Amino acid sequence: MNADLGLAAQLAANGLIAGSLYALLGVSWGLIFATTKIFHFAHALTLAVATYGAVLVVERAGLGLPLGFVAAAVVGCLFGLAIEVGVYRPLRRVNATQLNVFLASLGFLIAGESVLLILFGPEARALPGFAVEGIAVGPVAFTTIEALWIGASWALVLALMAWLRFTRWGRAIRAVASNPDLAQCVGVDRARVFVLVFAVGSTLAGIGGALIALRDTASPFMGVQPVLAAFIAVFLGGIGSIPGAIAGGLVLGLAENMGGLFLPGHWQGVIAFVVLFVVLVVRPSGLFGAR
Amino acid sequence: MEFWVHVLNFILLLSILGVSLNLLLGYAGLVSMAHGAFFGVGAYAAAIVSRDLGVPFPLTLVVAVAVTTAVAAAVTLPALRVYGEYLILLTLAFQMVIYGLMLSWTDLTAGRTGIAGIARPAVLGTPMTTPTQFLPLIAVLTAVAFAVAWRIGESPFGRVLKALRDDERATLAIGKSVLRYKVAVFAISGAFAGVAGGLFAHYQAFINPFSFTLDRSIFLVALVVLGGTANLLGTFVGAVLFVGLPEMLRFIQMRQDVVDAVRNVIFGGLLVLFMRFRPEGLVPEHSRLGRRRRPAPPPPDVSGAVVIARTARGDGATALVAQGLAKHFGGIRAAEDLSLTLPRGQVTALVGPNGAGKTTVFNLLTGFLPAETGTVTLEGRDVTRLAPWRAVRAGLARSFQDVRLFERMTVLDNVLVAIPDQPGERLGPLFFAPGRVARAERDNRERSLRYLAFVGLAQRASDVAGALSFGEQKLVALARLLATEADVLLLDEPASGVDPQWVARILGLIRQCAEAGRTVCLVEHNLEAVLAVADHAYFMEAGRIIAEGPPERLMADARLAEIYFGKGRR
Amino acid sequence: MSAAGADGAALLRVDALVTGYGAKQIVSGVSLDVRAGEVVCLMGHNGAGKTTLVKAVFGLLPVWQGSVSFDGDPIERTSSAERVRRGLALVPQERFVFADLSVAENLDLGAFSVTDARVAQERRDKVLALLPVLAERRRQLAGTLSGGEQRMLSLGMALMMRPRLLLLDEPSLGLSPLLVERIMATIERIVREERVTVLLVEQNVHQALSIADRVYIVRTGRLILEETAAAMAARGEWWDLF
Repeated sequence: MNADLGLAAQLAANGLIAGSLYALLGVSWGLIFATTKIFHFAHALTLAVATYGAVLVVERAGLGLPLGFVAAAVVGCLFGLAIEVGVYRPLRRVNATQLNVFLASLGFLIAGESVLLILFGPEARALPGFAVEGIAVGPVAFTTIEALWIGASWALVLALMAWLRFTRWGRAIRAVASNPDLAQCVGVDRARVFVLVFAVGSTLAGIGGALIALRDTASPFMGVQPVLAAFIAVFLGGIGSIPGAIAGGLVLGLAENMGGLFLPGHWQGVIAFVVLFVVLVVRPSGLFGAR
Repeated sequence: MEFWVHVLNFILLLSILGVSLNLLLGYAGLVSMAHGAFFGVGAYAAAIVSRDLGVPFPLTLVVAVAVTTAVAAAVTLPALRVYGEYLILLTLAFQMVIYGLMLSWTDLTAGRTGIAGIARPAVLGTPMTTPTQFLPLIAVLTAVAFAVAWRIGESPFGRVLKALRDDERATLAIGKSVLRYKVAVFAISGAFAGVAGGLFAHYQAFINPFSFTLDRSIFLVALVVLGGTANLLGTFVGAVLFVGLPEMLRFIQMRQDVVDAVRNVIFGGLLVLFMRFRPEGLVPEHSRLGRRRRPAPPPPDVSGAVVIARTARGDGATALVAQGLAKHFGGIRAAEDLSLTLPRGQVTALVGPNGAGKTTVFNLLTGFLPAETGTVTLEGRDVTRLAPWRAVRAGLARSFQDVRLFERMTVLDNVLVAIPDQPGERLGPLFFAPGRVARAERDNRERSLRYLAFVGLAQRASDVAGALSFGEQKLVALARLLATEADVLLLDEPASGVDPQWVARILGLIRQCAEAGRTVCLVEHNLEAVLAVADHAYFMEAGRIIAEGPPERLMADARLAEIYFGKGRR
Repeated sequence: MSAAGADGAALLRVDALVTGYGAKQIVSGVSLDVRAGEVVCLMGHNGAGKTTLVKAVFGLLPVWQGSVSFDGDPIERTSSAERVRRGLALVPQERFVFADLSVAENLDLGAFSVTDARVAQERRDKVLALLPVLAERRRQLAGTLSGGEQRMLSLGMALMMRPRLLLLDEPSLGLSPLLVERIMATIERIVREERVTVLLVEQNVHQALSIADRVYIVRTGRLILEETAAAMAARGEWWDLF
């Protein structure tokens, strides 16, 4: 009985750790999706490219890990901007359908991943420089990296929420997400808001990628799984809601880790998608969506 | 030599998959990010029944098709309610679930080890082992797949799929069950993927999950889109490019993973460029290549008048009676205690200020909105709870304010698709009674030309509908509405937004329909038009009918004028 | 109101304007002008192209042919944001508030082009004084306001822009007669106190005539009549114009 409780507590902690990162990634993708309505699959590439930026800075250039994180943020930001300006904006100019924009995003992702592979090889790379230590709280054990995951994710997510809430451009972003036509009426420049959300969302994705590489590794195809988790977090929470994406990320992290208590082993890897499947069938507007 | 035959075999297998996806994506406009998984379900089904039950070859293929069809149809159940990005995500989730199960349900799939030693098919006692021995089998099945897909795509069934792709609401409004077509097309698509998967398993004699990844799904989408959607030749061209081109890269000395990467860069890049510069793909839908020529212009003697007569479902003096309809949105009353009668063969108008709820009445009558209370009786039959497409089949059809033509289809197909009960809309007759289907198609084609002749657009029959002027589109919409053979026609602003000379023409046609016995109800803001065409009018304000009578009498009523133009102040 | 405030020079001049949606031409060569200080009303039946015309004037739709000039400068190629800076404001016919944002945030967005927080604050205080109903509900989400309050908020947002020309697209649509009266009275007060020039799209002829100086009637994308509000009112009956 006690052992079971201990296991449950450990799994819950693991869920919270993963869920925090999902929340960060969910918010980073959800901000872009809610504002621009672009199903930005190439977010996965942004994450990978930014992480390689961090790896190069730390491993090749021998600079410290903090500078590696700065590099991840800067590279992510610039890369996301480049996609918006170089890929999506020209598509909008020819009134491409939402499906076609999605397909272009997909094409950019598969091409970009392969460019990474050609440049850096297929092997996984570590992001070194963090002194890992174990922490035990009662029956729950985790590492300092995982503590950093939780701390950094929540700090970034809360900072983003505050920025959206209290600043002039944050308000402008929410205005475009809420009612794009009216935003134009009050003189908000849509193109600038799009640039802004790509910059911010991609920065967060870059930092998220570096966090992942800290515990796991970096590889050309590292972005897809975390970004799929981000999609799920957003749709679970209900599109357009930042708190929804946070809650969706947590639910997802907990479901993945706690699901092992109830389901046969081979379902472990697919729980996330089963959860999404069920939610889309039963409640397409998301667990916390309005409609 | 064997190597190139192997490449050819792969091209053929991939083009079967491409055809499978093209039916969904190109014809029906439904995205699937799960075709890699469908492919895998077919392959594993064949491999497992062969391994565990010793089922021999052609039967394994049947099992593969059956299982994949069932699985694909099951995916549609939620997919029927979701579209756009939700469908992308749903099929993505399905892809990941299936792939995850292939990896981890080791009792059944042997996990990442995969299933080896899958029995080779034997013909006349000789097992097929080399690619060349396999080629005839694969080629024949590919040919069959293309023939079947072409038959479906170019049939009345395929026409409804394209309508669905262009405008789902309008498809309901011409009396087609969107649900039935969506389930059917997913199932058919699954069957094709099952064929490809089963063949693949036997051909390779070995499968593991890594052939059925998300990447595979993405590549299939890219292949279909680059080749050209809703064009099967395009899919074949796409498959040749996708399999053939990378093989050419082999001649350059490179590592295999680099070859794959270069291929990905090329195709990913092409996808981006095509979306920007040629979204219709290499071989576009209305390309002359690989498809039947469009119909010749109609014979000059085609006259429209004969086809507009009513189909005589009922004979009472009133065609439709609505009683006590009500509908609220949140706290807003959109309709309350609405009762109206449509006398047979007459034109009735709904008038009233903007926002009075006139279009809501149409939505309530036709089932596009469920009424909270009240009944709608059509020819003595209660149609209140009928789904919109069933209401049309019962004889009650509506048009839309914003026209909603099927913009990527030809003018003729826009009308043709609306004709009810076409044998070619069902798969049974389509494949087993081709003579009957062909005869019906010829008759319906001629009938559609007559509807077009009636509205004066027969000479535009082979133009793409989206290219017409707004006035012409309104006329095509009228022809399409008549083609549903409904006796009661609800016209939502038939004359708004078009030039005055078009208005006169449209009103004349509406009068003719009424004189031919059809019952018409219209919403119109152009009051001159109402005066010119309506026998009777209902005046609405804030969701209620507050007066009725001949239009000229309503317009003479000072109280109604005050409501229409607002009350004076001071 | 009279045309006394008008100095004769057109603040807004629309010349042979052609526009529409996609390939659909809705407005086919409309020319009109609005002089500084005037209230001009655009009328016509639904689908005649009034909203399309106003959207093109504001830059939400591209001008296919013809020109739009404001204060003598051609503006048909500028962005909406630029037109807001020059002094145009539009209150659209539907979805005229940010439903997911609070009343205060809606108002602040109205002053989006003002970067000085103090100026924005001053304007907000003034607007809240003018429309006290909004002051009580500052923290509420705009989507939870009643229809009439949302209309008031949309006017408040427009005032935050300090426009020289206010484009109002059917501000009375969907309101009860009592609320129509209130909205019209508010518009009249805004015109008087803020000295704003107004181009008003309105179905409610009586109400519109009570505040307008001049009227244009549109039918299927073309102007069919221009006359003073007084002359229009003298007709007494307008079925043939709609």
